[in-house]
Amino acid sequence: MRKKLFIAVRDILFLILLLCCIIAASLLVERKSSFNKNEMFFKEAKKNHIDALILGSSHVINGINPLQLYEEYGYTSYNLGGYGSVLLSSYWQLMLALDHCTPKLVIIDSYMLENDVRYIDDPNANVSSDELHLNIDRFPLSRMKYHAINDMFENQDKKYAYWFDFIVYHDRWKELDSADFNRFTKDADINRMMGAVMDYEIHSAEYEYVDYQAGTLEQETVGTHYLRMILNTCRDRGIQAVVVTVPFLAMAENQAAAHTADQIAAEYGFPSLNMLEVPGIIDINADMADPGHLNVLGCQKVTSYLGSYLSQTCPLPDHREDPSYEEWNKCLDEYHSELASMTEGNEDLYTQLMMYSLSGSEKTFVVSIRGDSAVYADPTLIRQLRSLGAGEALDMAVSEKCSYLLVSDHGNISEFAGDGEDVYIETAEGSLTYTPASAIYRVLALNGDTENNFLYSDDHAYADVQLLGFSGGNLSSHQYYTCDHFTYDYDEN
Amino acid sequence: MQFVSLSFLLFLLITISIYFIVPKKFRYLWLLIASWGFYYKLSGNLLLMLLAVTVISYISGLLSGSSAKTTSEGKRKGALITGIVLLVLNLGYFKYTGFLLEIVKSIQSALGLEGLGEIAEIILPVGISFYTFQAIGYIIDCYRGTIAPEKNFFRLSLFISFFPQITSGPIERAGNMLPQFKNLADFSHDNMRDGLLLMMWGYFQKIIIADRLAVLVNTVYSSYKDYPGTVLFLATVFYSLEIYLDFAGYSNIAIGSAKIMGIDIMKNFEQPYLSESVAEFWRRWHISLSSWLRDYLYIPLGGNRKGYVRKLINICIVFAISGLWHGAAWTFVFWGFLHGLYQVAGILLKPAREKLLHALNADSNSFSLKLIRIIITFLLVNIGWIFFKAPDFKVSMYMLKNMWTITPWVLFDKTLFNLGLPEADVRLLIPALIVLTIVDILNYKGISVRKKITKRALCLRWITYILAVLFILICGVWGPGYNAASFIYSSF
Repeated sequence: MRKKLFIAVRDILFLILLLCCIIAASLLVERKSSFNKNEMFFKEAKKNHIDALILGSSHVINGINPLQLYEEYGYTSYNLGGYGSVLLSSYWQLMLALDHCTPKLVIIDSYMLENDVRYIDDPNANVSSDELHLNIDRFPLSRMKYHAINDMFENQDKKYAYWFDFIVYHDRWKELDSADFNRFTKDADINRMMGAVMDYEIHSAEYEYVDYQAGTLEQETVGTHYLRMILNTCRDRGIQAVVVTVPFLAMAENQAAAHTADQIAAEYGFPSLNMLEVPGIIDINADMADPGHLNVLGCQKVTSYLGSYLSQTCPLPDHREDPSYEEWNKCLDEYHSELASMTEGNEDLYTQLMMYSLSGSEKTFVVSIRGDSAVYADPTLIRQLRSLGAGEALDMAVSEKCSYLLVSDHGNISEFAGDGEDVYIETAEGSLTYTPASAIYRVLALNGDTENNFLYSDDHAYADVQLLGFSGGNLSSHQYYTCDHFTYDYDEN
Repeated sequence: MQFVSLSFLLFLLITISIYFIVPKKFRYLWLLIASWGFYYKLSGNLLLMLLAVTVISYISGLLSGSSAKTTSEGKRKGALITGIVLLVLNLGYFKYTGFLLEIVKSIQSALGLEGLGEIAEIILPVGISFYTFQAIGYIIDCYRGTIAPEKNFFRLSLFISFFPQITSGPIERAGNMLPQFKNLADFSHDNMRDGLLLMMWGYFQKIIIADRLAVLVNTVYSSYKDYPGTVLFLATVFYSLEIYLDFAGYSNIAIGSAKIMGIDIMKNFEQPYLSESVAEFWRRWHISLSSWLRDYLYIPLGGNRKGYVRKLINICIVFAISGLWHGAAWTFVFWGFLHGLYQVAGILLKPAREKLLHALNADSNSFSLKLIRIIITFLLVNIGWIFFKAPDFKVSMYMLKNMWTITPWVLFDKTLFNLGLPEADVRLLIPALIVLTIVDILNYKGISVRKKITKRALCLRWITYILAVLFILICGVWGPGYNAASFIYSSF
């Protein structure tokens, strides 16, 4: 009997050890995107530091920056938006999150409210069920997760991979790198933007936003059903909710969905903010990465507007002075450092101009285009320059294909087109002298030092666009872009 | 519910857990319920056909195996023949109707007659070839008096339906299984450990090696004209390994599953590619089928008792039927017949071989001669597998003709990394095949790696077990997108 007991205990010990090893292996091989996205959520939720949850699709991931809300209003929120998330998955994302925290506010984006597909794995669903891994994987297997997957998926075989993601990720053994092993250390790469992701691109097409005068959705959809479920849950648990629609190039059906979202929110007595119908929040041609997603410029504007709206409609506690929220300040500093590091030296011209646009009020920079340049036919570049503040001189340069110079001194714009006399521009970094002698040869000197002409060198005589940044009374960066059918070769001094 | 699936492992865990809880005398009933449930999950209503086969076997076994004192020889023989004919007709209907109709169509076409219309496709019930042969073997054993007829219908049902072997064998004998079902073993820690280790080895063979080789093989066979000679040759070698590891892997999982419950199923493979002749190969390959064909076909045909020529003819007949058993196509028949011819040639050339050895004063037991014999046997078997794998004779002949063109640079110019399998997976195959070879050689020499491991110190054992499980779980080809490549033999 004693021997049998010994064997039983030994076998149980072995099974426990084996299970621990399998769990460790599964953590090692798992795709880290969900860990990266949600780890900060778990850390802050544990400290009860999350006052607001932001739910929705990629529109929200790229469109609402919790760190900016914290910086401007002291609100602590977490962006739980998921790529391709529909209201069905947002509902379960909320339920999973509520197992770990009790927020004061839930912000829910109404995008895809018109979606009427019951299951995420339905081939007709306009979403990839694989993307749900980003939202779900980091949440440990629980009763709630079991129900969530059961409700979202029709195909039983597909469910297993969400309950036990090792089923899909074990094959990653061949692509393991340091980031995978760092999963077990403090150096793990995690999203410290509180779930948000900034997009630093700009679309190339020119859009015009059309108000289709759409009414509301004609019938209840799976989306409206789950929006009601979300609002019901919030009401039952005493959580304030705000239904929002983040701006994008909405079609008639999207606009109707946004109206319906307003209507449903009103039914529950919750406020609703349809930013599609608030003019002037974003410049649709400069602030979007593509027709659906805001870039970093758009995100900054939308977040600022949302923060202002929340402060008036349902203000949250301001934690900026609370020492226990030190981690939030660190994250904010890291975000600013990242932005600062991106202010100069971007190989992509569009990204560089976007970063100038973002930091324009704090910086002195110069944009120069040589005469006869092909870039005047690049509509994206011209739109970006206008967004920076370019005006009539740019119009003239475009029409005559003459040289062009824009000086932005902490947001004050001066611009010059064509050849002519010397001009002097006083800036916070010193006095600039600009001599446009010809289409190619022009002189730009700082504080009368004409020996150092910033705009001409034999090596870069035919660079189409030059960007010059000034700091501390000196030239801090000089970037050259040479155009080849709007693909720009990059060089830097 | 494939063996390589989470659902099978869950099923096995639940079945075995309940099995040891149920009172001993009812355990066979629980196993029968589980086996029928398993088969129903695989084949749905075709479970009824399995039941019909069981009923035929039960009645035929009782009648043909009844005492000579109470039943005349004629009646007993009649029951035997009726039972076999019914079972063979049933197998023939499901497996060979399409094949026969294709032959009829070909003849009509050749004679310029109006052809048959479209014929509904007949679904082949999973494991029909295996359990039909098992049932026939039971009836013959009853008739011969080798075993007493099983009076308990449910116990006989379990013999025919036992879930670890229902889909692809091993084709067991009633004489081995029925006594075990009558007196099922108690839980044994050693049985559980041995069973699990055997299953792990089976999974290693199947999802670490065979399923990776399958990708390479299928890529080459699907566009064989695009590849140079050495790649074609390697594809044929890979297929030889794939089919071995696929089937041996399945068999080990089946035998291991039963072993956990204390039920011993016969071995199906014994390092076949270390055989020194084709005859030896068939003593080591798919042993349950080879021995079945020997006992229930070759010997009744007269075996080697009716003269030299008749013996050679019998060999060819048995192997051609073996080919037909594997698949309803001429390529399978030819594959079987080819193996028959190999053996006939081996018998005919034996005196010449011996003379040659004598003239050269060579020791037939020397390592070099053994190695040469093993290589030659492997190459002969390898050629046979080309007909087994290829969809038709045209492809087979192309492969056979072109695979000898030597293009060794394909081994160095990364061609092997462009055969549909990622580079890391191809690289993984190399150590895996080395491990397989070492284990097979050790087993060939009578050294059981499993037993060696179990004699190590506890911590070493645990480390070995854990690493093996993790390796199989992480590097195994399974999960979404995995088509279980189904086990090749489950389609026979």
